[in-house]
Amino acid sequence: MTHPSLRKGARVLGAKATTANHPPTPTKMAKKKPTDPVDTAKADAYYEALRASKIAAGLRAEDAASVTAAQRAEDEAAGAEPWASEEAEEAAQA
Amino acid sequence: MKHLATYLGLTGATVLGDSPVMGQITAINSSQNFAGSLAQDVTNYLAGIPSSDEQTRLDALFPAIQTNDFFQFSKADDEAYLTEADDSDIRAIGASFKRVQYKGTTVTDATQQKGLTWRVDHKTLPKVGNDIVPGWENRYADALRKRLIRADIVRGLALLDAAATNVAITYSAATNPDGLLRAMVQLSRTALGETGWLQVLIGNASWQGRIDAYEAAARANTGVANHADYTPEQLARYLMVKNVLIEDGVKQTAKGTAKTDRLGLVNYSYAVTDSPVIDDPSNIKRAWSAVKGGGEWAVAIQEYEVFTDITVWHESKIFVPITTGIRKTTVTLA
Repeated sequence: MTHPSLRKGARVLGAKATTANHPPTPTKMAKKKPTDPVDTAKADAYYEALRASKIAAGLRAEDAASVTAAQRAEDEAAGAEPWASEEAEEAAQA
Repeated sequence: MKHLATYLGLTGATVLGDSPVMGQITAINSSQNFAGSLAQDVTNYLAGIPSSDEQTRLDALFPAIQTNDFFQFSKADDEAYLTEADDSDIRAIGASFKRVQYKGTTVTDATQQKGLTWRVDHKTLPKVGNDIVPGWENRYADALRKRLIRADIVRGLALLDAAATNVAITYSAATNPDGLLRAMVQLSRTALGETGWLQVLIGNASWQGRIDAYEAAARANTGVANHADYTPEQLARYLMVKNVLIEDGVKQTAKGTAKTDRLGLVNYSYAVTDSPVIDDPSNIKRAWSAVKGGGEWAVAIQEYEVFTDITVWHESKIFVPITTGIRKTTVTLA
């Protein structure tokens, strides 16, 4: 049996409970990020296609890269997954 | 004038017989000219007629600036927006002024030569007796010019869309569409510094959806229902931008296919100036270079026995010198 002081999150014996030795209070969950490798791969493919489409429309390569990066950052901050809605549309049309 | 023949040759005229002499009439006609010679009279006609709605729309969307065939501009970097909030602009006694450096990159670009040729069968032309009614070249050249302008508008809208950062929004009885547009404008303002330069471009379906949302019978927030009646000028006042444009044009890209909106459920905000120069921080501009004979448009006419080829062309390039602040909202109607 593990000594109580060695268990994860255990309080130090004899010490007053402080934020240093008290199990952390769960904080507000961050927005969902595509940590699933499949989601990440889909996201990467989506934004790469988006970048290529911007170049095809006449935007310079460096501007296409910067605008796509800014778009990806905004989508992640908002929890948006535009590639998922595209998949749903394609599935509906199939 | 010993160089008169040379001068006339440079204009495309071929003079038969003896060299021309000052004071004598020298007759030429189009069959003696080089193939496809510049039709200066038709070119002047295009230059003189009032701007069509499409030309006015093109200039409003993408302000024009005259350049050479090849032109350079400096892409602005953050240095252009810096403010000395630490009093570093105050020179101490004995010291030099603070030195700043603008290290933006230099971009070289070039105008593109764009044009169309229309082969006009003489059998299709109106005649009085056996004579073709004159002036038809002007009308056909104008039709080609309008078609080229439409192509430039479509091309420019695609470029604007590519340069924009998007947020998805919903218009419904439960949302305030103009509040969502105001949020889009504020994002441009934060990036660029002010709203006075901003132009808001609204697709036709988005404009209609906006009105529908305000007129919806289910709308609970009836205090903003009056927005349904806003003109573009009133909406510009509400958004505190320079102007609001409704893009309600249609396009048809293949024969027999249906016409589609040039711009649908989408809105943009971006900065433009009325009189751009090569290095002002407008988000999008249209560079044009003078064609042969001067001016923005050129016409060449080549006559054959049974048909005539009319070619209208121009040299221009719509480009985005800076993408910062170009915002877009894609609309879902609910």
